[in-house]
Amino acid sequence: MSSGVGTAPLVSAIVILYNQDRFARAAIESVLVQDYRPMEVIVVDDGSTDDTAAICAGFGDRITYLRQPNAGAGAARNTGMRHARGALLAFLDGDDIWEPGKIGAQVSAARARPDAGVIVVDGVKFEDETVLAPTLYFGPVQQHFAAHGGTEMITDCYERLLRGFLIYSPSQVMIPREVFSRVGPWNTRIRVASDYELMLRIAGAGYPFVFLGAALMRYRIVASGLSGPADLREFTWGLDGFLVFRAHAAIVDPRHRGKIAERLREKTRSLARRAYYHGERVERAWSRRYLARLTVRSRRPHLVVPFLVAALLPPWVVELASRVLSRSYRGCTAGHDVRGRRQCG
Amino acid sequence: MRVSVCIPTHQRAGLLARALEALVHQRVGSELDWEIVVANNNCTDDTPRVVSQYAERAIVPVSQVFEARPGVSYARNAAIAVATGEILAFIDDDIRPEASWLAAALNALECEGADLVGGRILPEWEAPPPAWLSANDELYDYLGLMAMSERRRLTYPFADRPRIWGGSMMVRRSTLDRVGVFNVSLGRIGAGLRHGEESDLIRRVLQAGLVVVYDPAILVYHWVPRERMRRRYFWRWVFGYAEGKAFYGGPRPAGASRLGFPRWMYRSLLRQGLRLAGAPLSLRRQIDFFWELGLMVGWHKRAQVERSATR
Repeated sequence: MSSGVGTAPLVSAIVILYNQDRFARAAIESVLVQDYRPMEVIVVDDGSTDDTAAICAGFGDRITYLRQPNAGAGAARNTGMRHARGALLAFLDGDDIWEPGKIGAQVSAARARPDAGVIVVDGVKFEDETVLAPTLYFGPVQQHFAAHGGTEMITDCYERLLRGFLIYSPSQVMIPREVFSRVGPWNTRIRVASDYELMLRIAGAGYPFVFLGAALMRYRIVASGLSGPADLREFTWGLDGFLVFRAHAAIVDPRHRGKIAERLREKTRSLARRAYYHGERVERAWSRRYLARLTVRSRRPHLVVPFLVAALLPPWVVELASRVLSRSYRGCTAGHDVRGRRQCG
Repeated sequence: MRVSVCIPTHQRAGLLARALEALVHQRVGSELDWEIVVANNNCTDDTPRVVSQYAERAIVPVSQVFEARPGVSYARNAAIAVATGEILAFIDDDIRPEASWLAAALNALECEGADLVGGRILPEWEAPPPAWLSANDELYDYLGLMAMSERRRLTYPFADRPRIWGGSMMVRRSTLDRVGVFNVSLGRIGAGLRHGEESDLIRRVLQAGLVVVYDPAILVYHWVPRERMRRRYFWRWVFGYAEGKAFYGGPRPAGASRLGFPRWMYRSLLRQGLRLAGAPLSLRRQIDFFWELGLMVGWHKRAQVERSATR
């Protein structure tokens, strides 16, 4: 990376806003109070219909304000990148907040590891003034910091990313521009999980990821955010996951394709099962709609249709069928008494 | 010493604004005297308004010249004619120079005692590139990109890499006075993909015994739209390049001729055709085939011109 990272590189902060006028001021201010310089602040308004424009106008020429017709988070970040001049790009969603030292810490890490593809900071989940969770890390990253402590973790994470996403929010990441010039911009055809798809591409191109242990951003919990109601979020993300992996399979090295197909089969089975039982507990109509969408989206109808049929039948039929099936199953496998064996034979 | 940055443009006001925005934010010493010259090549869109907007805003002079004859070489030559600098820098309208671009290019020109310099051209993809494209650095050449990260002197005949493309280069006016400007029979015209005008200029510079340097510190980003991420684009590019090369460059192909073409041309076209038939989906073989085809068409056109000239 020779594009100016030698001496205090220019950082472009790219803030995207979509109807978040309640939070926009706090988000933009958290960028402006960063103690790192030189920095430019680009705010992309993704076609908001609320007071976002007026709030941004209040910041005058301290920010570059861009507005586009609503096109989604990925497209908004791309618009920001096209106007950004920095060698390092940091992203912020309009309802999140950076802590003052966030950019400084990431720039130090980027200069120490010029080969890094992504520099991630930890954060907290919050609602109003209450911290709901002290870390955004989970899975292997959380385990690493729990087991080894330390201030940073540097890792190649393509295999891990194929098993599931690792980074909670795009507001945590800083990415050198040269990385985008290798793997391409944010995918605009994926609505919710475009960050996951980008991380797969960056990791797949062989760039190591740097995770910093310090919690330097605040992730706002909003009941009706982009991802929809919180309890259904895993299902919404699940459907988007198919788009992610399909988009990824189209551009990935062909030798990874078998692995990706296997991941998609597992995912289809587990989503179908979980959606069916969620429907039984909460709302059957929802689970029917969801399973129908999953049948189409997964392109593996044979794995989903049995659950869809079960969700369509009256509950007592399903109950009866499962009892009959489980009895004959028990009969076949118990195996020790002569009668059971005869019944099966 | 004055520097003129010349930008030929054709119907791309949006991209041009992006290039101008990056230019007015160049980090250069305040003592540097420089200007921007936009060569408007038959634009019917917003281009004049975009340029005058920047002319008002920029702290350096921004001028525009209109060139009606279509072709990137005509446009660059028009800019050279009105530019007042002793040093001429060129970028295209789909290029976004890094803030350090102008300073780095001047530095290379001075420190190396060079007459012409160029540098790294990295892609700025419109959409995620497919694997066959992003994993294959060879294809970068066809997109006007150059990723090599070592500084080198160029020699003629050209090595595969590094090459210097017209999207980012800087040359002394005294050099152009000596070897001439861009060859107007080469270079992209409208939507056509004829190429080689910058290679042709660099060849003349090298043959005059002057110094040409590639320096990776001179960094620009080149906009790569979706349509250039398709195979069809690469076929057309290679065909256009080969056609231009056969039409203009080098000595007349030797060897006995049959039906107006040298015999070896039939042989190599047939060989590439057979190889393509063996693996019709291989982009490498498609490219090789279109190269031979382009050579043949270019040679045919050249023969026609030569015939009408001798008549």
